[in-house]
Amino acid sequence: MIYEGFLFVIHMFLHTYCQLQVVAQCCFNIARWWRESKWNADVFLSHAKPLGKMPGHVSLMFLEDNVPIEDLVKPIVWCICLGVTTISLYDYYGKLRQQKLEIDAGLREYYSDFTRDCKKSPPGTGSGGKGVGQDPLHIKFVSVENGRTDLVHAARDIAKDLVSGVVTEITQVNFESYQKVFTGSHPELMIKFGTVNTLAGYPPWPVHLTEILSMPTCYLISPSHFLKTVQNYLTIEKRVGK
Amino acid sequence: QHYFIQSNLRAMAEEEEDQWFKRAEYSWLQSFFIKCITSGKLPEHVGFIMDGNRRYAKANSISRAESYVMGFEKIGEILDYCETFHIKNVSVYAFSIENFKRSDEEQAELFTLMFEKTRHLLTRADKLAEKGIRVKVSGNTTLFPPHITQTLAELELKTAQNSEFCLNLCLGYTARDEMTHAVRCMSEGVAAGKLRVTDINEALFGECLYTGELPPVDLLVRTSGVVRLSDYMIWQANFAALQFVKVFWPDFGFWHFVGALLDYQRQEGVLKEHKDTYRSFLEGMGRSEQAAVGHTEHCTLDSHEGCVWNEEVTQASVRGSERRREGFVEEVRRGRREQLQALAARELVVGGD
Repeated sequence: MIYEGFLFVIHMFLHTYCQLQVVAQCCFNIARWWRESKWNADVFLSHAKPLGKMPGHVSLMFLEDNVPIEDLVKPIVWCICLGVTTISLYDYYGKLRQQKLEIDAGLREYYSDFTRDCKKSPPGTGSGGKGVGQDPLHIKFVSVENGRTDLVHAARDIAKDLVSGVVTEITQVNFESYQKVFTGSHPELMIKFGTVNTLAGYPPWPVHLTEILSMPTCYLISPSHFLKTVQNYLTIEKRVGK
Repeated sequence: QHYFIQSNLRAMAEEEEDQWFKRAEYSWLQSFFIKCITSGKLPEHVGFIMDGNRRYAKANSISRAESYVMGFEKIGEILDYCETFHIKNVSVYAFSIENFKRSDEEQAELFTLMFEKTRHLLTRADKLAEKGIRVKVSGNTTLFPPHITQTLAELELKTAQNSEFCLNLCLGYTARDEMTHAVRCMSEGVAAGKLRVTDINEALFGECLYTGELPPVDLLVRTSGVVRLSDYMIWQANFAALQFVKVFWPDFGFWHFVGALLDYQRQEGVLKEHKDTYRSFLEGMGRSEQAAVGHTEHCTLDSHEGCVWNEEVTQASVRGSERRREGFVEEVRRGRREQLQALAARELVVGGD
């Protein structure tokens, strides 16, 4: 009983520490807001220039509840400006997919505001400056229903084809071709928002080599904090087995 | 030079002989934390990505071989911690398929260590039995030199009856290779008529993995500060708590482990909620699929006349699927045992590389 009590106290401290991290981050973001609300894409990219090249596919994982759309669209737009061409948005329950229209509207509005008065056209404008959402940008909505379930469906399909003789053997390459969630590119970088450290049912096959970075919260997110987090990825040595 | 390395490693192995089975002595503060943590929820299965041995060697000006021996010793220490915290299953990422890209010299060092340590554990099988430690190997061990494959198979067979604790060594392993192997296994089952395509579900997929007999990973720890999973147990750890610890593997100690366990406990409520809702989602999806399958089978049988979609038909279909899956899993496990016996029975090729 006494040890349960002490454990409860330890966890109160841990929980408070985590919440304080979130609050502190929000406070810093508010403090920076005065300076960074005036940032447009040119200023953002000038701060990002020393960091290097971003990967082509980034996954943003939202493990917080009820993130306002105006905060949610910011890291998406910043990724677009950094040249990311495929962005996967993951939340456990698939609520983001249900808010697709609102997110799209918020995205266009923030992108238009962020790229105002830019001397150079940032990536994502498409040909003729048509705006965000045009080729070659791809935004995917992913939830837990697309996780291991997709692998099971792929296993069934390839089993059927093995029986009918369409395939004669099963390899990693041809099994991957049966999967539907991530055709083509896999996320090289995942940025997770929230204080829970887990994949939370994210599709397992594509994330075998994905770098997983964490930010305590997406609330009131600031561009400089985002760039600082991304900097961690760009300075990581990719050794892959060697 | 290679013989020198081999004999050095043998000497170090003998020196460390009893380190693996030594019980740690804890300070009053450590004992206090042990009692506190064990009064709460604990993970059933912890996975470790033992990263940072070579960087540790460089930082401490020791040879790579010495750091690998220290890394192996650390596994023994972790086993002791897990026994203390009543954690019954531990998996360690000992050698990835990607590690075959390393230099021949480094591979030779690692293979020598692997062989020496496995042989040493075989000679201490009595101690493993006393502690109830089962050693399981997950991965494609046929990629290793035959003498290593054989020794690993012997160790697995010799400790198969131990049931208190499971040490799962992932050797010749990547998660994608493991998942592809499971898919191949299930597909061959369908082709042989032992399974139907609709019998393939998540539970069966999990049972056909190398770790099929083990519970899912609840906590996955990676040392050295690297923040990726490197193709390790990405299916099994899909709902696990992830801990990226900024120390090299030989430096990973009691307090780092305590920190990982406390963080697991902090998140356990949310993780459980995810798992519970996912289980409900799977059950719902499974029932709909099974009802559709049952209806199709029933219709086929009754030539579409008097065809009624009912609970009885669904239940019969569910029972049939479960029987086929259970039978198939038992066959897969029997096949694995026979393969181990065949590997262990091979004539030993003396020496190493």
